[in-house]
Amino acid sequence: MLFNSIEYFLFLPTVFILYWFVFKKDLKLQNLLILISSYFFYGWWDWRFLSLIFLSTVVDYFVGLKIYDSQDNKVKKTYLWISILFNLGLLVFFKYFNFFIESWIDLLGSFGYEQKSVWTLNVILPVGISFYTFQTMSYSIDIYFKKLKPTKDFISFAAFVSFFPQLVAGPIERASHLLPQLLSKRVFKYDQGVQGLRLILWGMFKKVVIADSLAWRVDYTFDNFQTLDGGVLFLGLIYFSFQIYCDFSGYSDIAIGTAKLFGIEIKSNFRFPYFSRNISEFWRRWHISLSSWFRDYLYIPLGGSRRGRWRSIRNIFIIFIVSSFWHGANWTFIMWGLTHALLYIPNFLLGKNRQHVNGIVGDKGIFPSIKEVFQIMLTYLSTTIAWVFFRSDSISNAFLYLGKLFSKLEIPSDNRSGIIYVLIIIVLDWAFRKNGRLNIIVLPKYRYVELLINYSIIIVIINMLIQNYNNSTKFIYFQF
Amino acid sequence: MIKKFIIYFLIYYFPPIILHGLIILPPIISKLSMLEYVHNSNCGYIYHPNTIEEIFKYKLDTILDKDFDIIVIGSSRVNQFRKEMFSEDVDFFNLCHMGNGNENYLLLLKYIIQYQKPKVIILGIDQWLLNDNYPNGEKNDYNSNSIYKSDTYNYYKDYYNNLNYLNPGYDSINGINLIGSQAVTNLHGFRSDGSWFYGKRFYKIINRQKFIDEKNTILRINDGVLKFQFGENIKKTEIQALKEIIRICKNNNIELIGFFPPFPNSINLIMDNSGRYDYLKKSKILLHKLFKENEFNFYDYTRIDEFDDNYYIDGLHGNQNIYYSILDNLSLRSKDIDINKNFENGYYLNNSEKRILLKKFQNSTL
Repeated sequence: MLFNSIEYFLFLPTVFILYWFVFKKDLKLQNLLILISSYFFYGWWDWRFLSLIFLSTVVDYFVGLKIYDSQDNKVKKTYLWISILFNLGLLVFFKYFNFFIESWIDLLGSFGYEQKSVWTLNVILPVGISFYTFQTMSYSIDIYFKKLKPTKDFISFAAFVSFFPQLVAGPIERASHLLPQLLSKRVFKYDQGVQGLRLILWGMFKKVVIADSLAWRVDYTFDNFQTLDGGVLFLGLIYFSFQIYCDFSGYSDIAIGTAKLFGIEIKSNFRFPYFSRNISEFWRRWHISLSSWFRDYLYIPLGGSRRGRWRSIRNIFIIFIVSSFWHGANWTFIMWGLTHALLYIPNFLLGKNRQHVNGIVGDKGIFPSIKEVFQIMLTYLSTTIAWVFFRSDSISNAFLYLGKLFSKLEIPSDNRSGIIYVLIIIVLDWAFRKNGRLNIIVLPKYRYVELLINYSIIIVIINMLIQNYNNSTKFIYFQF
Repeated sequence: MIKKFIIYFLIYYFPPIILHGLIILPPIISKLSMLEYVHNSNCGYIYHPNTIEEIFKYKLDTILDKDFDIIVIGSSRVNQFRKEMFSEDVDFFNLCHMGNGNENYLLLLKYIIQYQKPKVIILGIDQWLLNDNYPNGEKNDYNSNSIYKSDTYNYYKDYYNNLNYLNPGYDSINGINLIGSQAVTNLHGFRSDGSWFYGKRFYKIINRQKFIDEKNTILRINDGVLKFQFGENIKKTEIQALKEIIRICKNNNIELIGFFPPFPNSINLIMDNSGRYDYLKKSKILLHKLFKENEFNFYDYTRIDEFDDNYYIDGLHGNQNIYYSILDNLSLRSKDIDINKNFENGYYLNNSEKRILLKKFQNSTL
């Protein structure tokens, strides 16, 4: 079920009413409702893959208990590996099987051994598998490292794994954050509910109005890049950078807002990444739940930056390549990750990777300094150019695109119509940046201002939804 | 707390959802019933709503609803093939305006064979598709994307233009209903057989001496841009898609007839004189070979000398006289193409028609 669908507009109020009016006195029933509605939400897309979520849930539920109960470290480790191998096995089979086989055949082909692809399977990628497998894995790992106690409440645990607002595209939640909330009684808070609604509205605006309006322009540019001038390609790239940002952060906002309606807090996933002053800051602001997951469960266990310079560089490469591969079975993603690693390492070697950890650009005034503008532009340009690899069908196409990027920088006026959407999001993000993402919509001083804003946004969203009703309006990150 | 929240929701969110929904839903429902009417209608109609998606839906749903003996696939340059041109027992449907390239047509073919297997598919292949230099990324191409985007305004326009379309005599010519804003305003649109009626456009060509170069064809040839981009080599992706079309037709026992649609003589002359369209000769030879290898036929109707420029709507589109003659020619070569020998292949723009265009319009069989 898509957040921007009519079904969801019926589904959400129904679950909300049942949750707060019918089952409000019984925590277990509330969690059971979350579980059932989450499975319904997911099954609306394809019920067959519910079995995968269920299997992943069962495995990690028992593994968690076994790790905790066992006194023997070897046994604990064995159970941990069961969880890791099972979850990664699911991922590898459904996401990477064909890729590995095809890459192997290509490799043989390059040595002159022609081999027909007989082993590839027509495997459908289950929506959200990269998200929920990482979520369940983190549960077992946290128990192994004694950061968390397992729960015996299977329903609550299953609700944690499948919690519908963030099931298919994150944010990837940690058990230590989400599970205790599911295990304790929730009380409806007016402010939290209002904030939830505002976030849903804001997320919808970003997805439906900005991202979907840029989507066909981006498709056009990347589909026809060989015949377009550099200026148009450059603009298409800018459009894509904002399309993917608004698409994904819009989804995250709707997810966080929806969770708030049920009295549950989910961690933020984006914090104005395009205002970053260097690449390290960008990665602290972009897809935070994934980058922090890799930081905690891969980078730090590998030694992080504490075991010498070369080892740190190796670890940086590993984390970027693995996280890029997480996005999909394609060399283009790996190239994208490599590019980011190459952008990150100079920053690391200069000791600037810990700069700008707190605060946001221009937090002492309205405008940034000239130096900051330069830093932001440089960071934005480098991340945007890296998007070429992310968006292209193949690495060769990505290089062709990049090659044409600096030829004939003219932009026909007809191609500029999307700039307005980019400007809207830049201005709004800049205005909201100081209050942090969760408080982005400041309480207006006058109620009628909020009324006017809400009505306008809702009308625009409805119109855009109808306008795009025949086009694909899926969220980009569903494919991962 | 929760009551306060619900009151907040009812004041701050609910009204625009409901009110706007109430305004916007009737046009959508009206669209659906319009389409349903078109599909169930036994009488003639000209269908052209404001949104191109509706046209796609209309044509695709027709394929889903009914089996046909002969289906035409192509761009606007096949839109003059009509049901009346075939003998009465031939079920015919025209899938014109459904794409601009063999890759689109391949998708369309795959869709068709999911639901039916016609005896014959006639495929109009626009010459420029085979030019390796096309498209050249001119802004017009970029703009063409925007026509695939509908907007709310168009929904309202269709809705209010068609509030009474079901009433007999309303927005109709000689009992033939005009359905959709474009049909009502410009009297043009798709007939029930999927073919295209040019309608009001005849007003424009009434006093012409030759075709009206609305699409700046001559300018395009002189500049070598857009559809008339100069080119030497054949576009491989188009050939690849065409091969797949041929393979699918062969595997499904569908007779595939391919052809190059005609250009006006003056256009052919300018193109020949320019000497910069080598891909045309090469692609003609290649297509003949490709079709022949699979026991199909390909015909080149780029040049039909017996029809002068007067028989062309513009620099790209011939009128129905030309297309009937193409069918006549094809019927001699394919046993499944059974044409209507009594088809009134009147010349649309003879002098009397020029004088009485309006009147003629009223009495047209459309």
